Amino acid sequence: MSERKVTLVLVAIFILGAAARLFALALDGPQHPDEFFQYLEPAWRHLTGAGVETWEWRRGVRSWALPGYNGSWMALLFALGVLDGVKVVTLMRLHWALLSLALVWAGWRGGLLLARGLVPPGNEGSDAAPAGWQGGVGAALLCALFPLLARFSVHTLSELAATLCLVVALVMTGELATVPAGRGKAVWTGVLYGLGVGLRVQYAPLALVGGLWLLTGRRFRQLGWVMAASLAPVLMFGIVDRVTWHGFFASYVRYVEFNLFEGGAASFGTLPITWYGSQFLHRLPYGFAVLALAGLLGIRASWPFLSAALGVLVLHTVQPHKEERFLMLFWPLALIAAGGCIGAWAARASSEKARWPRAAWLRSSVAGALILGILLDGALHCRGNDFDLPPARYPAQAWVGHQPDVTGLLYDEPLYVGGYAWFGRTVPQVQFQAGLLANPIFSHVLVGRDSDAARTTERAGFSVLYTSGDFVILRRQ
Amino acid sequence: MTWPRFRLFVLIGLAGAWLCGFVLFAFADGHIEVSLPRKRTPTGQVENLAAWDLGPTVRASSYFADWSGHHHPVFLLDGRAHPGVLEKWASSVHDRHPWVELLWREPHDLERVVLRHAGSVESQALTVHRFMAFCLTQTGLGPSVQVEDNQDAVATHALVCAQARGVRVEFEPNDANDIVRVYELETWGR
Repeated sequence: MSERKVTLVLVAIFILGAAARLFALALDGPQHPDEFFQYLEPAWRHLTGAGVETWEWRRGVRSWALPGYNGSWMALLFALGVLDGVKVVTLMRLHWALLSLALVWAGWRGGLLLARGLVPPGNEGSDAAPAGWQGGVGAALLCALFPLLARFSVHTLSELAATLCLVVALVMTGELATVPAGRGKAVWTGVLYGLGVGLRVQYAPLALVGGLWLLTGRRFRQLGWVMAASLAPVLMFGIVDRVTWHGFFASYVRYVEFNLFEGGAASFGTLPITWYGSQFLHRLPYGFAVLALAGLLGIRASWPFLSAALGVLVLHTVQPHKEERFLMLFWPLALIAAGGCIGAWAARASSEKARWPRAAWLRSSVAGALILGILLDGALHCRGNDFDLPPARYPAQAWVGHQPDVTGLLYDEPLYVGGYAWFGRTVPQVQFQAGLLANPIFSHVLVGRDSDAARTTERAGFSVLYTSGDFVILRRQ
Repeated sequence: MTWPRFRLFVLIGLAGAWLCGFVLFAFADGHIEVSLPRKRTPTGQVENLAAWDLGPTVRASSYFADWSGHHHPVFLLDGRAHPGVLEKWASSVHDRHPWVELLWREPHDLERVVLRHAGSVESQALTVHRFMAFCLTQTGLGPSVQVEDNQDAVATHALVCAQARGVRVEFEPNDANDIVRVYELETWGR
């Protein structure tokens, strides 16, 4: 295939990836309260004064770096006149969804790298596509369209930001380890490692694998640059803590204290050691075997991706508290390994095309079918979350936020709503208590339809004004 | 324009835009401001001008906003005679210089300020002892009253001020790790 054709295929994959993310943005409701309350709400609160301050923020176990990043975009939107909470949150989700297309780039470059490591380059002409392009296209396609990854990309969680930095960094490390490159690339790779680990310190095993990759490639000078450059963002996280929490790395120290020494993480629930494994099989009951087998068959080239995925898995498996989002980094690593190896298998077929045209065609078709099978299996099993967040409550809350006469909102569930950022108003939002209905400040009530709270509210002189799914909005008469 | 150069310009543009936002974010002081809709007009007689239905604006340096304990500054104006422990304004644990401001829709002649402190509902030990109330005028801060050792759960302070725009109260927490709790802020005048 010519280089031009491969470029067109890649452009099409990027467009498909963007479409999948827009689809997720339109259809996928919030997955976890943290995507509002840990990374958007603090920024909103800093800008407007209104916002829920969770115990993590009162105790100082979170870094201001990610809310500061989000908040800077929010402040710019405010300056441009975008003050509506729903619009601001949606634009922030869109921003992360578009940034997550970096995984498609990582898939392309990573898959290319793997396929080149497994298949010796043939004698291409000057306009021929780069050797191993099949691996790049396969991995890019998986990263672009794997449904769980597309869904996850619209959620403003630290796992997403860290995953983007670290997967791109690992791919760049592979290029540093195999292809002579300048100092600049090593510096950017180090910066990404520093950012990724700073954003989510539990993902540090991936950075160790990156270092090992450079060591085995005997790229000692490059390793030095990567390590030195990674210190800059790490230092930045320390300075951010010094400014905001009055101590270098204060939020990290408190985070470790809480989770490791006080056993705090377990207070949010514990799951068995096999949970992540069963969750992977739940997400890909048939495709996971293909994913694992493809990666393992190409272990000679795919070991950095697989060992990074395994390292992160082991570290999280020994933690008593488990959530699916914690291991979202696993998926792009496994998909790149599998896509690259399947593509390499197809590339081997095209190099034998002259001798065995029918076998080569069959092999390419099987490779394509395997990739489509993984995507289809992923699509059939991508529904559901750890948290059961009723999606209808969010538009109901936003509807109240858009009422000009709202002076206060009582809602039945303070955790599974979008906070003040989504509400977009500075008037109080408080968990429903019958006694508060006597407080004239509360003009609106959001509760379950046919609930005791709805009946109590009606008896207190409120009447139903709006319905959203299983929820009703009542307004004081 | 070549693709690498175009890409560079886009990246520089995005970085510049983000930096502008960062400056705005870094200089935000995190205070809250709530303007309530007007439900009735002032009578012209001496009354509590801080009543929520007169449509005042309340500003506060911060507030304590846990999921379950949401002590919003609007509770200062709700006029509740027997509030529950939730219905108070409390400053954030990180706020070392808490203040609240009340702004009216039109100028009024202020006579006195009444503060219903934590002791009016909860333990007297939670009542804040040191605070300073200012009258807000067209030109800035007007007459003020300084309180050094308040022990009253419901504290009334004469603060005479013609054509005032509102009131500002600055508090000093009882100790370095404490927060300020106030149930009601009343401003009496005509």
